[in-house]
Amino acid sequence: MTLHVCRDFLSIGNPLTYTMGFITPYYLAMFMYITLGYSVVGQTNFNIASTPLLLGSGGTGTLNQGAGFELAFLPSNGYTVSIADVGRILVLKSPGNPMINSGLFRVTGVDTVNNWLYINYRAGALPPVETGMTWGLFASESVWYAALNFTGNGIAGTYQGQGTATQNRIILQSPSSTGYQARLAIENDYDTGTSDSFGQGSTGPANGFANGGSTVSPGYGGNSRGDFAVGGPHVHVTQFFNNHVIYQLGLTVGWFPHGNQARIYMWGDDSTGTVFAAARTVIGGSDSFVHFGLPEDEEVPLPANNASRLFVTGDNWFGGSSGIYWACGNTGVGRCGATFGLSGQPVTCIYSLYNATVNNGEFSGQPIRSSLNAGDNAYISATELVTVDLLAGTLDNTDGYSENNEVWILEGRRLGRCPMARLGRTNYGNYQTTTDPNQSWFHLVDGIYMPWQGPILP
Amino acid sequence: MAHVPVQPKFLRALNTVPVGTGNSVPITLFFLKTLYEFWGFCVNGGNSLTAPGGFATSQVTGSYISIDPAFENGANVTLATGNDGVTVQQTAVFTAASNPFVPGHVGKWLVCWKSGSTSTDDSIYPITQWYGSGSIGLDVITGGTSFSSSGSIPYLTSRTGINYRVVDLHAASQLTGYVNGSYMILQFNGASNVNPGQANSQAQILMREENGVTTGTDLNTLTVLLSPSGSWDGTHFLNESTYAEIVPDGTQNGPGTGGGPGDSFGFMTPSETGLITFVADNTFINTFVGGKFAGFFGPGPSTGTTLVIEVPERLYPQANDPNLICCVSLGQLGASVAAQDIGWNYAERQFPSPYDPNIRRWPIAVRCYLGSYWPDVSSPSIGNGAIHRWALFYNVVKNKFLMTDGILCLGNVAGQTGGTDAATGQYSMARARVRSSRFTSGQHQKLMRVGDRPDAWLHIGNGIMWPWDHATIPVDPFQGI
Repeated sequence: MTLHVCRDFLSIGNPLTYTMGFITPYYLAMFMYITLGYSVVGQTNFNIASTPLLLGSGGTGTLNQGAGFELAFLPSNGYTVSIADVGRILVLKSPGNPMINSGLFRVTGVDTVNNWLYINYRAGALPPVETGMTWGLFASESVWYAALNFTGNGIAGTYQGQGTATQNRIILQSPSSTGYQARLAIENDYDTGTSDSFGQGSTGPANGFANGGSTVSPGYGGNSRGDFAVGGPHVHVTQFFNNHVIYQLGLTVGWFPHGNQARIYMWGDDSTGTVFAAARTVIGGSDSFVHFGLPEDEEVPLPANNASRLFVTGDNWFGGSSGIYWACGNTGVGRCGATFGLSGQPVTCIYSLYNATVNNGEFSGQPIRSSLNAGDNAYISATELVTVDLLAGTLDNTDGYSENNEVWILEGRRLGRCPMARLGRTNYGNYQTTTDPNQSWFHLVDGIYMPWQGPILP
Repeated sequence: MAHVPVQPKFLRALNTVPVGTGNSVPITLFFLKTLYEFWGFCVNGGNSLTAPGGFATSQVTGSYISIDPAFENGANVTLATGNDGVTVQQTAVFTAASNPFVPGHVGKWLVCWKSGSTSTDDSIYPITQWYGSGSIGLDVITGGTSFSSSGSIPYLTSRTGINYRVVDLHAASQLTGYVNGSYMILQFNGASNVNPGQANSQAQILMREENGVTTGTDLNTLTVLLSPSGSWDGTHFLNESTYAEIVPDGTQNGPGTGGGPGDSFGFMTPSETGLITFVADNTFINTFVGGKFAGFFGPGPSTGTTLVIEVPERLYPQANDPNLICCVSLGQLGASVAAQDIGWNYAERQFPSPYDPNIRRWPIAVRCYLGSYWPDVSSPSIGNGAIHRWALFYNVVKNKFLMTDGILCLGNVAGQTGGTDAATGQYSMARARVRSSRFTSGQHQKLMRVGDRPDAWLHIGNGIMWPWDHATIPVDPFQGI
C-alpha cells in the first residue's frame, strides 16, 4: 500500500457563505478519483471525470521547477494554463513523495510563458522536485456549489434521493482487489428531515441549518445513476430499506462539518482505497471527519460477502452535534458508523477503545486518553499511541428513539483494526505534529493521531 | 507478537474439611498446603516426588518456605509417593503396581502429575475408595479432563508413569511451626515464554493478621510481596526491598471512593467447610475460596476471596520494561461492585513499575463495545451495557462470543497509596495485557462456558471470565461472587 496525504488544503474563502457539508463530497471525489485511482461507476450531476468539474488531467506532471520556482507545476497532456486557472484546485498523485506532494492544492497563479501553475503548498517546507505525477485540474468550489441539486424523486414514504432524483451523487469504484465502491451523495430535505429538526427524516447527516445533507456509503452494485440497489450490499441504510422512518436515523453517515470555511486533511491508501478525511473549520462551526474502506488486520476467516468487510464512520448529527472525536455510537455524540451485517442488512460499526470497566472512580471520571495526568510515557519516552478496533453489530439502535427498540441486528464481531488512525493522549496540542525528527504523527483532536511527514503550518 | 495462550490446570471446588475451632491458622495452613501441592507438583512438578517445582531457586542460603518443617513432607503429611501411577480414559480409578495404598488413605488426597505435561488430569483429588493396595477411587470432579462425548463431565485420561503423592491436608493444617510472617516464595518459571528475556519473577505469600498486621498470632490473612526480577536470596528480595506488602482489599470500592486495603483473606471460622478453586499454569495462578455455609470464608455465604498473581503480556520494549508481575487480592468480597458492572475491585492489578518504588493499582481497561464517548466523560465499556438481548455479544452466524481482553493502564487514580494520586510521570495507556482473565458484561449468565481449549473461558460472575476447560461440575466453584 502507499499512503497518500492531502495536507492542509484550505477551502474557498471568497465567498464565505458556503456550507462546508455540501462541499466535502466534492473534495472527497477529487482525492479519490485522481490521487487514489478510484474509477467512476455512475453519477447524477456529479461528473467528476469531465467538464465543468474536471478541466484537465494527465500522468506526467512535474512539480518544482527549480530555485525560485519551487511551487510551480508543469502540467502535461497538452493542457495550456490561463488566468482562469487561478482559484481552481490542482489534485496530485505523487509517486515518490506521497505523504507531502499528493493531495489538493489551490492554484494561486500562472506562468503562461512556461505553462506553469503556481500552487499554495501550505506546508512548512518547499516541495521536493518530482516528475511523473498524475494530476487533475478541477473547477473551484463555486462551480460545484452553483450546481448543487437537492431534488428527490418525490415518491412519498421512500428514500427520494435515488432513481429519477436529480440531486448530486456519484459512485466510485476503489482500486482494492475487492472492487468495492463508495457512494457520495447530496441528500434532500425530505430524506434528511432537517426542516423538522431531526424530526422525520432517516438519512443523515444534516445539521439543522441547511436544507439537506450529504452522505458517504461504501458498498457494491452501484448503477449508472450513482445509486445502490434497494436491499443491496451497501450501508446507505435509507436506500437499503427504501423508507422514511425516524427510528432509522443515525446509521447513514457522512462528512458534514458545520461552518463556511475549513482546512481539509485527507489520508488515503491507493491499494485498498481506504480514506480518512477531516475538516478543521476556520471560522466557527464544528469540525468533522469521515472514515471508510477496509480495516487493517481483518478478523479471519474473512466474511464470504466482501460487503461485510467494509466500514464507514462519520457524522450523523443526531443530538445536534459533530466534531473530531473518538466518540462514536453513543446517542448524542453526533457520530456513528455502519457495516454490512452477516445478517444481510446494515448494522452498526463503532470504534472500540480501551475504556474503564466501570463508569466512575478512576482517572477522575475521564477516559484514560484524557487523564489529567497524561503526558509522555516513561517506558517509551514518547507519546504513546495504541491501536483501536472496529466492532460491528453491537448497538441495536442509534437514534435514541427508545432504548427498548431493536432497530438494528445485534451480531457483534470484530471487523479488524481501525486503519491509519491511532489513539493517544488528548492533552497533546490539537492539530500539532509529534516532535520526533520526521514529525511522524499528526494529532487532530481527542487523541486521534494520523500518520504524517514533515513540517506543518501552525 | 502473537499472544501466548494460557495452558491452565485446574483444581475445581475442592471441599475442605473442618480443621479446628480455635484461631484461623488451621484453615490458613489448609489453604497454603493445597496451594503448595497444586503449584509445586501439579503445575510445576518435575520427577522428584518430594521436592516441588515452581518455588524460588535464587537463594544461596535459606529456603523458599518458612513454615513448619513437616509442612512439606512430614510423616503425617506425605503418606505415600510413587511414579508408577496408571489411569484409564473416562474412569475415576488410580492404580499403582507398587501397591502403595492402604485403607486409611480414604479421606486423604491424591496429588498427581507428570513432568512437563499439560494434561488437566494433573490435580489434587479426594480419595473416596480403597479397592486394594494397588488401586483407589477418586472424586475426579476437582481435576480431570472433560470429554465432549460425556457432556463435559471431567474424568481421567489414559496415562502411565504418573507421579503421585498421597497427602493429608488436614494434618498439615494442624502443624504449629509458624509465626506471623511465615511464607512461601512462588516462582513463575514460564515468564520468559510470555515476555522474551524476562526473569523468573517471584511472589512471596506471607501469613499475617487481619489488615496485614505484622504482630499477633491469629493469622487469617495472606499478604503478597512481588519481585519482578525474582531476586529472593533466602531472607529478602535483593532488588525490590522497597515494595510494600499487598494486603487484601477490604471494600468493593476502588481507591478514591473509600476503598482500600484492610481485610482478612477470608479464613475466619475453621469449624466450617468451603470450596477452593485454582486455575494456573507456570505464568499465573487464579485462586478463589468461597463457601456455601455462612461463617467459613466470611460473614456470610455471599462472600468469597480471590487472589490472582500473574505475569502479564508486555506491551512496551523489553529494555524499558523487562520484568512484569502483578496481583490482585480481595478479602471476603467476591469480585464485584454491582451485578451489572465488572468489579472495580477485581478490575485492577497491584503492579510494580521499574520507574518508581511504589506499588500502585493499575486499572484494567477493556474494549468498549457500545461506542465511546466524549473525552471528558468516562463512558462505560461493557459493564453497563443494556444487554437484555442475548445476541449482543453472541454472533449466531459466526458462532462466536464477543469478549474482551484487559489492558493495564495508569492515569490519575484518586486515592492511590503512598500519596501518589496523580502518579506523576507514571502515565501509561497500555503497559501490559492480563492473561489470567477476560471480560464481558456482568449481566451475562454466571458459569457460562465459552470457547474451546486452548481458548476456553468461564464466566465466574460479574463480567469476569477465567480460563476453563469446558467442564461442567455439580457445584458452583465460585460461590461468593
